[in-house]
Amino acid sequence: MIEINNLKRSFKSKPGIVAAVKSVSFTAQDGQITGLLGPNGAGKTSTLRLLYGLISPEDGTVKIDGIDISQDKIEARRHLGVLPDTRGLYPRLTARENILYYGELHGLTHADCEDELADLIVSLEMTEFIDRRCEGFSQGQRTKTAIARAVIHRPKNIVLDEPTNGLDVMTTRGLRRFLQRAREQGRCIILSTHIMQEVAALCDQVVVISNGVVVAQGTPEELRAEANELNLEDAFVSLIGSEEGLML
Amino acid sequence: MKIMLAVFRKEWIDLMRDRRTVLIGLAMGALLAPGLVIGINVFAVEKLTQQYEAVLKLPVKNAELAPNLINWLSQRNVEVVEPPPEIDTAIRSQQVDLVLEIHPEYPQQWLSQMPARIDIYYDASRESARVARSRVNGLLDTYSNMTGRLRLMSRGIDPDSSWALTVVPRDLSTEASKSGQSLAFLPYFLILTAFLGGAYFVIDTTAGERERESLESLLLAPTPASYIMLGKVMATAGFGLLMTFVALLAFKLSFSFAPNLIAEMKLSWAAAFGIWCALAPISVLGVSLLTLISATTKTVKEAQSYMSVLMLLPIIPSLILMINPIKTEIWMYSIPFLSQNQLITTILRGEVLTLAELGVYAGSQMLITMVILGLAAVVYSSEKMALGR
Repeated sequence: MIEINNLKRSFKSKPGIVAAVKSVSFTAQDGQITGLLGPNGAGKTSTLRLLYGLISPEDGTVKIDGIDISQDKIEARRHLGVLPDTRGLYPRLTARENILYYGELHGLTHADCEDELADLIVSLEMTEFIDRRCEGFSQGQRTKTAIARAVIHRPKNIVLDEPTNGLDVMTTRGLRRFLQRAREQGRCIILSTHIMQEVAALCDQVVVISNGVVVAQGTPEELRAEANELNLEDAFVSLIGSEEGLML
Repeated sequence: MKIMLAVFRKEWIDLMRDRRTVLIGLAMGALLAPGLVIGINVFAVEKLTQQYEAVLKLPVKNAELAPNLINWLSQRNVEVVEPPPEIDTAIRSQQVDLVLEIHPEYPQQWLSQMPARIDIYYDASRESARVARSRVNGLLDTYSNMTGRLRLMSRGIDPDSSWALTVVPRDLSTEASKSGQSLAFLPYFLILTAFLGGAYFVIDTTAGERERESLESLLLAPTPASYIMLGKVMATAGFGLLMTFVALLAFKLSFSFAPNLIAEMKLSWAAAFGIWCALAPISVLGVSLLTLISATTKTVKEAQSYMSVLMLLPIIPSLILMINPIKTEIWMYSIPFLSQNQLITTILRGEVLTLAELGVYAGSQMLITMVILGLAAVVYSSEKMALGR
């Protein structure tokens, strides 16, 4: 379970101080997929970076399975698997070596990771390229490898920043199946996206962020009702107040 | 520790798979060494024999005033030629190396057995005229001495009585210390190799990792960022040491097999190993410094632009010593580069280091490295590191 309470963070930039995250609170339950939806530049990536403790908040708290990340970052991260916005791999290592390296960073031996890796190879359909060097991987192969390395230590909580960005239909469907399976295993999943269909297809709970503020949250049905629109898409436009930055 | 080893192993594999860069790095040390040793020797030997054995063309002004001397010189591999019209300009423009001028009063002084005056024109700052000058000086000394002794004998005086002292030079330099002298270029070359050998890999594993966008994931590992950093430092310093090892081996072998070495350039296995150990701290220090630099820079390009400055660093202490020569003192063993220079020179001269010297050396290098690594760890753990801004 991930609890986020009143997060606030701003960045210095050329024209002045930009408040990327003004006030974000939500709770992501185990056994659920929580979607963080918002247009480009709404503060999704910053919220997630605050969540996994890459940056520290000016105000507010993040608790992962009850552990405050600002108190014990290392322990909190053990409970967390992250696919960040930047997902570079090591081009001279094979996909398998890339994934096992992250297992080692989590203190696991290659033998510890064996079962999970075999499982991931099947569920993410990686058989074909698992022993190839990552140089020249397609976007899909890269993302699959990056996801596998993020969850090799079997974290209870999984955070993915725009996981389907740049993926083709087949890969996207495969990824959805993977996430649904993780949900069935009772894991807590947070994914950020600006793609409607993703939310409709996957999420149990949606948190809509715009300009660094949570403007609405609830199940897709609740959101539709709240915005008084029949279609989810229209509901979002109405909630955010503009069509800008959303992919339909 | 386990994490550090994991990072070390991964970086080492990653680095070794970058075959071309590794080969270029190692080949540079391996080929440059024999090239330097053999090249310098062949060149120097040829140049010296040429200058000492060739007929020396000597312009002499007023040669007709000293026919005896000219005759004597021409029997000793010297060809007396016409002097240039403007002596000053001819020497400054390097048309001639040196010019003798027989003074107009020379015949008169000679006959009255006074010291007869000869002027030698030369430019002391011209290295190329050095051999010619020493040859001419030597010849004139011999002539002067010989004539002087004859004059004494003709007056019935034992010529040896004009020598009040007998000075016997006893050179205490050992064979090893002489070869140390002729290996003056070796320390700088080796220190530079050790100091910057792993440099490109440090930049690649730090600024490069950020540019390839894998750093964010790496820093999310449940471990202090400094452990990850130390693993990387170990791997890259290891490569620097490997490069130094290859370079030393190449030197050792090229000294053993190079033909006609002008000076005794010898490097025993023990000395080579000693030097390698002496260089280990500077390797770690260099890698730490570069880690700090590339952690604070935004891009690989920016990190690389520091390289030209870093390459000059190892020369600075030697330059200061050249301008202001002082005897080896214990504090020198605490200054990076200077201390390595002293250590290598000492080992090459075949001398033994005291425990105090070694202690000061090891302690100071470790302290400096720790301070730099501490700073680098702070940067590594900061938000700026992952975000690159």
